[in-house]
Amino acid sequence: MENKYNIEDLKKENQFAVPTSYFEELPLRINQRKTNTNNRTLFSAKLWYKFLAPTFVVIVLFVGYFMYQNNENDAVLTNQQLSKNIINHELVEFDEELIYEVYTETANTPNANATQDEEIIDYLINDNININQITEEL
Amino acid sequence: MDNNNDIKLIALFRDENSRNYAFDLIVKQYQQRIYWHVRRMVINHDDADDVVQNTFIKAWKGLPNFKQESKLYTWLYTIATNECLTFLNKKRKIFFIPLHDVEQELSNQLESDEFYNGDEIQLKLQKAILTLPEKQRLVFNMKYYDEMKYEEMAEVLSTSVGALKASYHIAVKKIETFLTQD
Repeated sequence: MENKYNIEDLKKENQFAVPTSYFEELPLRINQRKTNTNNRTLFSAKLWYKFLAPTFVVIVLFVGYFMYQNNENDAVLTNQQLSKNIINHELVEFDEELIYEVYTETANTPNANATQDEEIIDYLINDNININQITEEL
Repeated sequence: MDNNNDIKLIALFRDENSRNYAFDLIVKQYQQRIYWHVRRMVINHDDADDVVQNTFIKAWKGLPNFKQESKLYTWLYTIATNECLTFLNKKRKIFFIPLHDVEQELSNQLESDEFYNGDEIQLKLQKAILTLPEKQRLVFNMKYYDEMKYEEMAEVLSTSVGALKASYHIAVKKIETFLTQD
């Protein structure tokens, strides 16, 4: 015959156990963890006020200053202001040394036409061709 | 639970000079009931120990904002219940265990647990309880072992009294069927 169980008939006793003195020690361990949590929170707050907050302020100031500078440079000039600035060399600055270098390089470059003439003369001399004869034929 | 005592404890806690003392009293007063509730859910003592400690640490952090709309015990019980469910979910995710296998694993743990001294029928009862879905297991434990009122359970589990009564009734039937089968 099948056993019919009614759970209300079963003894309601606690079958689980804990290590010796567990409940005496638990409040102490919770207290210890609580203190650690407090210290960690306090440390985070200290860290913020001592280091992170000043760093953050410095970064904000730096970024602010940089953006302010950029805005000033990007300011729109009127045509009149632009002309005035160019005339007074306020916007266009020439590097005089660079200009001199470019000039001397150009001056020292051998003339292509001159080279050609010299080559022709050399050719005529080497081949004993009489210049007067050529002139007559022309 | 003595509500006047809770009110005194909270008042002590609100005073910064006696906060630590008051919290120590709260822990001492409720640690056992919270522990057994947690232990029945997570089965293993070490896991229960972790969950209970987390529960009281959360209580320590949350008590300054406790509005006394519920009893202190109900409030602690709610934290403990949430911690249990979080723990079991983590266990599933960490070990990639399917939903129904966690309870099977807990059932196996029970047999080899050095801190479990139930007789054969009690072990069978625990195994039967572990076949229930998580929420139903909570409802059964709260009603059967902790003898909580349905109204208090409704507060903890944010469910209607009617649903809880139905859930408990179904749980009892399932357990009785399990015990009868083998």
